[in-house]
Amino acid sequence: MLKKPFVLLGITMIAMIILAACTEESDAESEENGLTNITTVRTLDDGTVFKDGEDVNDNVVTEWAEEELGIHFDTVWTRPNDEQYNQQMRLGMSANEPLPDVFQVTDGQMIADLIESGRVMPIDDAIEEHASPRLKELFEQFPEAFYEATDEDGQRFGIPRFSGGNGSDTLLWVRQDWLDEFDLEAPETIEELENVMDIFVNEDPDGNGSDDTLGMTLSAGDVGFGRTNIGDTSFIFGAFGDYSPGLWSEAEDGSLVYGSIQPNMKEGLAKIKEWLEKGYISQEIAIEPADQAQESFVSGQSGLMAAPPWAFDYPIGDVFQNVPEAEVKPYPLPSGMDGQAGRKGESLSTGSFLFSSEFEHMDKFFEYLDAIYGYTFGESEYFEDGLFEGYDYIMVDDEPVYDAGSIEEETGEDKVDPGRYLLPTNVPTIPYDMYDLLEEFHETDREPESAYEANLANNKPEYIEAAAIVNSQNDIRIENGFTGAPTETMESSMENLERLELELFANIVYGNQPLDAFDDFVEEWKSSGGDQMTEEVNEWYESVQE
Amino acid sequence: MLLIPGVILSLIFQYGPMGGIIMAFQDYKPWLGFFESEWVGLEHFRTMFEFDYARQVIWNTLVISVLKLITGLVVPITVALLLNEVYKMAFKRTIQTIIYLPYFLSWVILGGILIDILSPEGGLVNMVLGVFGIDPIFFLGSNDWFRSTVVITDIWKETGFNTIVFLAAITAVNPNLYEAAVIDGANRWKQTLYITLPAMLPIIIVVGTLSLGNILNAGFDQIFNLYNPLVYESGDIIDTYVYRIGLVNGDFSYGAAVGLFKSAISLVLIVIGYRLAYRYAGWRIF
Repeated sequence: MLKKPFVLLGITMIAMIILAACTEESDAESEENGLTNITTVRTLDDGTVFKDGEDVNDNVVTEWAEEELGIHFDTVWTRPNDEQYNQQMRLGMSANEPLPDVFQVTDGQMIADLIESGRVMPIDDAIEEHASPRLKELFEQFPEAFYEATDEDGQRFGIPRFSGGNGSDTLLWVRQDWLDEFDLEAPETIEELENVMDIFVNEDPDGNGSDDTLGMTLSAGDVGFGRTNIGDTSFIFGAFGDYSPGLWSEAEDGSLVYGSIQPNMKEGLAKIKEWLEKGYISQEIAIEPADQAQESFVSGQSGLMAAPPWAFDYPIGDVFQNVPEAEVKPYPLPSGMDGQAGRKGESLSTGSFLFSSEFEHMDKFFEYLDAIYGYTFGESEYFEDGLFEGYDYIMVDDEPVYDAGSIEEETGEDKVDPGRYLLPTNVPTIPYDMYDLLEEFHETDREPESAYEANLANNKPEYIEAAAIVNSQNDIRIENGFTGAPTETMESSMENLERLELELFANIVYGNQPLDAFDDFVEEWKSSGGDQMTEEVNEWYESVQE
Repeated sequence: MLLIPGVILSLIFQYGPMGGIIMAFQDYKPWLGFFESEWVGLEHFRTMFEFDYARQVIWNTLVISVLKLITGLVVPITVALLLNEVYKMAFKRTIQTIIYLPYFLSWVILGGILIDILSPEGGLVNMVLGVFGIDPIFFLGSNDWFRSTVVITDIWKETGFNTIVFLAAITAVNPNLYEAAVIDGANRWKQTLYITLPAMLPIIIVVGTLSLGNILNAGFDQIFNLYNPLVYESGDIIDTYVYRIGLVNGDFSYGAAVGLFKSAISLVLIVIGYRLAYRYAGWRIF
């Protein structure tokens, strides 16, 4: 009787030892085969589709890396989203577990913690020594992307995972069939926008005889105004000035100031309040998180929504199932008086790759990064026709075909994006490059010149048009200049200040507090740590720019 | 001897981690660990009281838990008494099952459902209210309504489960007592008042004292899935605050300090509750 628990314990321990031995064995095995073993961890969202029998450790990409580059990737664990990933990383850090060789971190605080712990490697020398000329050139082109993983002495610790630059910037999606029904032009100014919304709300555009339509879908629940892509509100504030909520942007004197306390917030909030009173937008704007707010557009109840180009597939695409006759078209964001316009700009990078200080194969990592970037650059020795045959392209009569329909017909399976299997969890990007290309395809008859371009040109026309529109409005981007770790005052006060802001903005919009309460908020924000925070942010800004 | 594995396990898994509390008095850095992180004394507690907000959060927590504590006793007892009066077995069982059902849904799911049902535009509840000519109420977006909404939805979810305990207590009452009372001329109401309720008193006090242990757990899951900036003023509780600070912002030490403070108040409340239960009902565990 007594022995049972111990027996169980014993069995578990033996099992663990065997398991541990197994993984070690496979590492040793790969080294025997002349492969370089690189351990990593990653987020792997539920949307990543693996073809039959493949998994994160054994798929067409890992096979390619082993055969062509001699790299064996060992993914120790995966988590479905950034939040869980960060938690797992923190737990590992607390337990003093060894870091994986290469891993991506999106959270500024964690990057700072890791740098301070001394367990990640400075990479300036490695870049100098191992990065290919074209990667070096790319790195030099966007020095700001390195700021988030740079310490006070200007030493760099992370390779940025570049974003599309403006890839998640928003534009206005409009129900074209509703516009046509009332012979309306797409709104170019806030005034025209109000006019359109008024008709959408009051003239029963869906023709069901009941008063159930909204002018526009906006989302501010959960994380506040201007902080989501779907149902983005940043352009409303942008129509009144060059700042956006929650972003640290450059003022005229070149220093960074906090967007949420700038005068154009007051005007933007007044507008939103007015729209709420007139019933143009949902009464639940401050309650519903973006994924719930989007329902009003998707279900065909709302006529306008600001969202990025990629939103055309999801969530916007779902509207066609609910309302088969719906027609959705992209338009530029409207401007305020005197043509003033602005939108929240996506950051240059979504996180950085960090490296364990014990990692010895930086040369191999750069070899890998350069190889996959070759595809994006259109100069690749591995991916001339596309990433992987049968995945993102097929060969028909010796010619590559990228169109999803043909691929699905040929392989009998859904088109799979093998870019998701890559270490950056996507096809690597060069900021602004993708939408530049798409704009070119949209405006001119230029033929795609590489597999990457051909794959891009194969997108839905609405998406290409949307990308062209976003790119043509690049001059109204409001960028976030502060990408460092939370400063000392931020750590102690940011939660309280943010809460103050979220609460006040919501209350002003709902009329629970007068608009002038904004001025008191600005004062309070400044005196309860905000001024000090601004000072620290600017100190950081100067230190990284040197 | 048989106790040894249990004692060892609880030492390792229950008492060991308690050492982690010391991070509340440190500037804790995960990679330095408890032994090398810098000591800051009561710094975090001072920060906590510098913000009016911390006081508000503590007050919210108290109000919501006390409301839940009281209604969480009164409603299930009433339901149990009423169910006890039902003689059709099939009907009684059906009702029991129906009110028991919500207990199995998690707040994550319920959060989404409730946002829909309580919506001021086209939500089920407001549509019903509309029939009676009542203007739509913004249940989840108004500080006047949020606490009531939280308490009522909590009752809706938990009542079924709690009722079972009380029903069990009622069935344990000796039937002879009722027969004697009927002979003395007691009606149903008098029987309930003088026989059923006194017989249930011990179990009511046990359940009440046990829930005192949770007095400052105003229900993280529920609040977290229902709250929003509009109702921070009345709905933000210690646990959600600690979550945002500790896990979202990664400020472990401050989070731990707030959490520790919460435990301290809980301890005081439990001691008071226990004393009162002993004094007025003569009931004690030790």
